[in-house]
Amino acid sequence: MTDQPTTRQTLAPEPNGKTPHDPGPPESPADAKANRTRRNRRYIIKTLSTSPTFISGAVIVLFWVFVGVAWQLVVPHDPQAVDPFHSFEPPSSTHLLGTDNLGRDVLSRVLAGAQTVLLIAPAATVLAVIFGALLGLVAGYYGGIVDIFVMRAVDVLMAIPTLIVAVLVLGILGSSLLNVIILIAVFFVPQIARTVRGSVGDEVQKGYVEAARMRGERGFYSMVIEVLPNVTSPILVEATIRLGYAVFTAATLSFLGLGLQPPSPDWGRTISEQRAYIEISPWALLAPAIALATFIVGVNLAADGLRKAFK
Amino acid sequence: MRNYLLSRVGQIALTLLVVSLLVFVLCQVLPGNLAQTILGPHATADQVAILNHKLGADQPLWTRFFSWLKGFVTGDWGQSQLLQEPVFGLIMGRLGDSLLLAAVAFVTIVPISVIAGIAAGLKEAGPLDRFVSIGGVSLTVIPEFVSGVVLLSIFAIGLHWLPVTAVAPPGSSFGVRLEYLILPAIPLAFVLFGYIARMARAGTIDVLAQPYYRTAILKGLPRRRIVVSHVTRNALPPTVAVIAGQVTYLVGGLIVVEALFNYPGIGKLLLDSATGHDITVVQAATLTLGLIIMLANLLADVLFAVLVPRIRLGGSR
Amino acid sequence: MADGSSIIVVQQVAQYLVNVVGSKSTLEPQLAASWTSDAKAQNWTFTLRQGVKFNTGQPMTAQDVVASFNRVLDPKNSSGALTNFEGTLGQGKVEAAGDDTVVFHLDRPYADFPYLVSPANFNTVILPANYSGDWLKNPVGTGPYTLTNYQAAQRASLKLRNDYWGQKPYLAQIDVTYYSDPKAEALALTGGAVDMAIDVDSSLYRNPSVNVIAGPSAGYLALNMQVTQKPFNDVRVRQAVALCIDRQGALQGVTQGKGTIANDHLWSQIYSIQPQGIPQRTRDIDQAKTLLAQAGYPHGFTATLTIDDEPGVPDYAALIKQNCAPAGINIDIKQLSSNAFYGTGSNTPWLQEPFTIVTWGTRPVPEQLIEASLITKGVWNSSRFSNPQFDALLAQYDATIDPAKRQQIATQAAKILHDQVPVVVAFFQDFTQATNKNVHGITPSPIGNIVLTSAWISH
Repeated sequence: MTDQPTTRQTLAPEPNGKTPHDPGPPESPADAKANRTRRNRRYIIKTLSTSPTFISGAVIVLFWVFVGVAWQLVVPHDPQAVDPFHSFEPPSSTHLLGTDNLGRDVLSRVLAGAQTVLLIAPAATVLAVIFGALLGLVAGYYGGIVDIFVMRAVDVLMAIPTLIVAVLVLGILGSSLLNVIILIAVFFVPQIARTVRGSVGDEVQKGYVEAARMRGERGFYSMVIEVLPNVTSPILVEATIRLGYAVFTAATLSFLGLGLQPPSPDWGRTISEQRAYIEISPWALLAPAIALATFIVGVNLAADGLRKAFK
Repeated sequence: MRNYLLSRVGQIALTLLVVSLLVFVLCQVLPGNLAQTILGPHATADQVAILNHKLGADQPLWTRFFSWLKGFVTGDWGQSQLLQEPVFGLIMGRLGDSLLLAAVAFVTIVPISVIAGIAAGLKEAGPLDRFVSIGGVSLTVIPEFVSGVVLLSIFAIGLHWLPVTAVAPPGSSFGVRLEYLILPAIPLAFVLFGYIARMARAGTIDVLAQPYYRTAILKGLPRRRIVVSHVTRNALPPTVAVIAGQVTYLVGGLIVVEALFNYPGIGKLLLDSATGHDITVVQAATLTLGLIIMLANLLADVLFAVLVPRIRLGGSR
Repeated sequence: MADGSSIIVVQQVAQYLVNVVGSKSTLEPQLAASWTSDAKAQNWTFTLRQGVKFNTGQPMTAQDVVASFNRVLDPKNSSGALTNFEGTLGQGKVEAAGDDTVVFHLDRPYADFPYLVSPANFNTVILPANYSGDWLKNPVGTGPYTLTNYQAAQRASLKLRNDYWGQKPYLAQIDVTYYSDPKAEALALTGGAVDMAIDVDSSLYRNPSVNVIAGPSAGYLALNMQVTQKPFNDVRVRQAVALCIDRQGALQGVTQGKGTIANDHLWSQIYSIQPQGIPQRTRDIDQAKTLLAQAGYPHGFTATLTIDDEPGVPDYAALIKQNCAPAGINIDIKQLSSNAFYGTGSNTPWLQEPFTIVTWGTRPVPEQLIEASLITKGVWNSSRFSNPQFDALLAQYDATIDPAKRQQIATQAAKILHDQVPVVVAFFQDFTQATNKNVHGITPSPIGNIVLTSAWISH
């Protein structure tokens, strides 16, 4: 599932923000930052606004974000209301996508189901970005033994098959929303740390960090103030890519019964629950399946657009 | 190369150790104890203590960890509490079923992807190229259970072309078993479609730019034949390496696809034993899968070095 | 003796002293021609049928019967029947009185004892005295079929015996195929690869090309409320929960209507003894709210319902949650895997958590369910119900032979369960099998065993 190729990545055109920024002529650190930011911003906005990939992705994502936040306003029925004597009904004017085995409105459940994935995936990604960036910054900035130690640990962590570990941890310790978020975050920390580490390495070589060091600024301070703003683009790109994988992972865990508790309308969970009735009411699984597919493709299109714009 | 291999083997050993320790510690966290589990709820405290001693469960954690590790290496994998079967045979049997499924997945998807990739590469940036690349990306990012549900609805429920289950009746012929495996194999292989098609496409574009291609055209050889023969010769080796490197993904995919199709492979075994707290099976299955994944990754690296000379090993690190 | 999946095979080859048949779980002679007990229902005398032969050719004698029971009563063999006999029949308490008579000396009076030597107590098949164990390799018995082939979890073949002592069944051969996936089994049935399916996948309920044979059973989903835990320590709270449940809706949602409505006690309609005059509890949210207010929960309460993933259970939990919400009862569902839920050793959530759904299989007599789950000493008493009057009534029920008296006792005991509600029993699930249209003569068994003795196939 979310395990990406590691060494193989060199072959596939998968730039993950490691592309070094154009160093340009020597400038004072402050000017350099300001100029670069201005130039980049204009370029990025232009690229994004003309990229059909990014726009279609963003529209899909925004649609689901809106639904996830405001589903209570748009659902035609209460997504939990049961009506066992009207179960397995095919799509009709009262139930646009039919009803499930307990007579619940499928459309309402699909709309309400957007909420959980929109909570888990971004939360896990943000957590992973915070810790991954921190690790990457520390490794890249200090270099030497710290760097070697952190990156070796990252290598080992990245080699661990994530879904197997997820099945183990959640299967044995029991699942909860929080467990799922933390677990996905832990899986994503190494990749983000590696990306950030790469970018920080490039920045550190550029002299302005050295200059700040000369001025006697202390390590952590200069790291955060000087380096962090210059590695935001790769972090942002990496975060969007991770977000796509987070949705994938969260939905998969949920499908395996390791995510949310019943009667949550969560898409992955609904698909596994309604699987038994596929011959009777295929609409009850197809609807959440298609919703999930559109959302994941949307996130990935947007990530792809961002990646190209930041190149 | 030798140094590289050594360091990779070292890394594999380290990772496996970390994984096995993680599994072991996780299983110790579980409430209840092994002897009680074996003896059932009516056992007396004395009986439990005696069996615990026999099983070595009263030893310190490290001693138990190493004796378990030793058991694993020597093939003494214990007994499944849930299924009342020796774990070794159980895992090997399920692994065989999973390998069959994975094999069907490869055989189904590789030709399709190669053809799609070549077709896309022949008309670079054309509509087909765009379609294949967007399709490839989409299929890669969509979870297996989602594509599986869609395929089931179309081909099993709608068209009645393929069975709705993955499990052929016991005693079915090999051909019938394969027929039952087509539907589960496709979602499993979808993620590979993007990778393989991309390799084939790049290979095609590469061939088109080669001097020998122009020579061959001048000699009057048909365009398509040149491309196909050269692409299969030049792009397939890296494809094989890519596939070997995708075993990690495949194992994850197996867990999901086997759960969706209720197929009794090793993925389903791992899921059931983890949620069912069947500790001996969980431990052995995890380590087996970990070992397979690590070895496949190593194999992928070696294949790269041998088949794709222009790639420098470890270049990304 | 053997794993669960071999039960169907064993019960075609080997037989019991008595059989249980019909929609009221009636006892019928099988290997015993007749039986009587003393006035206290403590000493039971079984007279064996004459001329019964094992498939080995040797005649069945009282010695074989005694040896069969000594085998299952020996703790060394850890037979599944041991738990059923606990407190009722001890080792060495079965004696042969002549060639065709066996006497059971019980540890307590028990009017329903013959049910313990029936197919409902699976391991009590009668085998020859010289049987040496490992039945699947050595498949002996007095039944109409012999086992000709057995591959664990794959397939089995049974052939009709020429020298069978009784009325011969119609089917000359039975082939059994084991499926790990109910969908695969359903597909094999609709595709004609098999004539009959024992696990009925829900897709078959609406398939016009198959017959779904449903027979009432006493199996149910128990909604347990621990009477020792807040808020369920107040009987009004338990009654309020029971009043919230839409029983018809739950039956429809969980079993697609295959079952019968229940009234929070365990005398299902498959028993000949039926409690009288207890009004059926129906959904009444106003009444539930009133009771909650009286109990000190005017705005309801929040509780966690712990369940497992057995078929129907998560659906039932979702229905209960929705049913209870209007009364202000907010239910969070916590689902575990079946193995984690039933657990082992000191970790058995189904017995420990205050609010659970437990799946109970059918039994031929209600006291087997009640004495396990609702009396003070019950080993599986999930709701911690302890009522001395109820315990005494049950003991009296077991010791009473006269059906009229038993009915009076049953009425009193059922009334206690209905009023105290340690467990909500909303419906009893049917036992279902599915066959192709050309299969006839399959009768549902109230105890859930597969009866093929009158089955035939038309062409």
